[in-house]
Amino acid sequence: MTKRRLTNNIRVLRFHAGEMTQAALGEKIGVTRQTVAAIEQGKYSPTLETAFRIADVFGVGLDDVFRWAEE
Amino acid sequence: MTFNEKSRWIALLANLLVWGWYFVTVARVLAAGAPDVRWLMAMTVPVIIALTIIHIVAHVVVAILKPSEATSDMDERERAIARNAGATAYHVLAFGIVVAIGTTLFYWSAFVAVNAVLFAFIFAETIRYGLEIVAYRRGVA
Repeated sequence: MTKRRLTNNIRVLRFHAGEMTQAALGEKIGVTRQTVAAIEQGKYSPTLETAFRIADVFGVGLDDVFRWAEE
Repeated sequence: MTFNEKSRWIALLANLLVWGWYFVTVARVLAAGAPDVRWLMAMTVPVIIALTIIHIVAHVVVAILKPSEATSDMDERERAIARNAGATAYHVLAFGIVVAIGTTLFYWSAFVAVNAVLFAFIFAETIRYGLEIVAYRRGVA
């Protein structure tokens, strides 16, 4: 199996959403600012539920937020 | 750093400080002779009082410094961290209990038995806090 890691565009999406802060996004999806930071840095893969919540906040599909990257 | 991560630091340092002092004292007392269980009772009371005071004071200070984050509610990442660390610490505890039982087979006394089990429990708890802090810093697998 090809080794892949999950990457995300949350930082870019936040910027395009009126420079939304990590704390503001965290509040909308029910996690701490530190957890949003950990997700952005690839240190934590969120649950499916939280992943969908993030996509909902930005009004985009899941594929627009998360994608696989070859290692 | 979230409130829960700070809480783990407090618990880790309090454990190392207070229980560290306790077990060093136990080792010294054991080396000097065979104490009875009354000594144990007399020692555990100040240990529990010290731990309670450290935890309360440290958590109040942390909460005052950043009231907006002062909640013990855990989000999904923190729950995952606690779950993973708890699972590993369980094995440490199980191994420690087996070692404690083995110790009492070779050196039987109520004092040694109670302290061996207590050490296994505190050691596993300390490992749990340490693993949680590492996961908070490095990320969750």
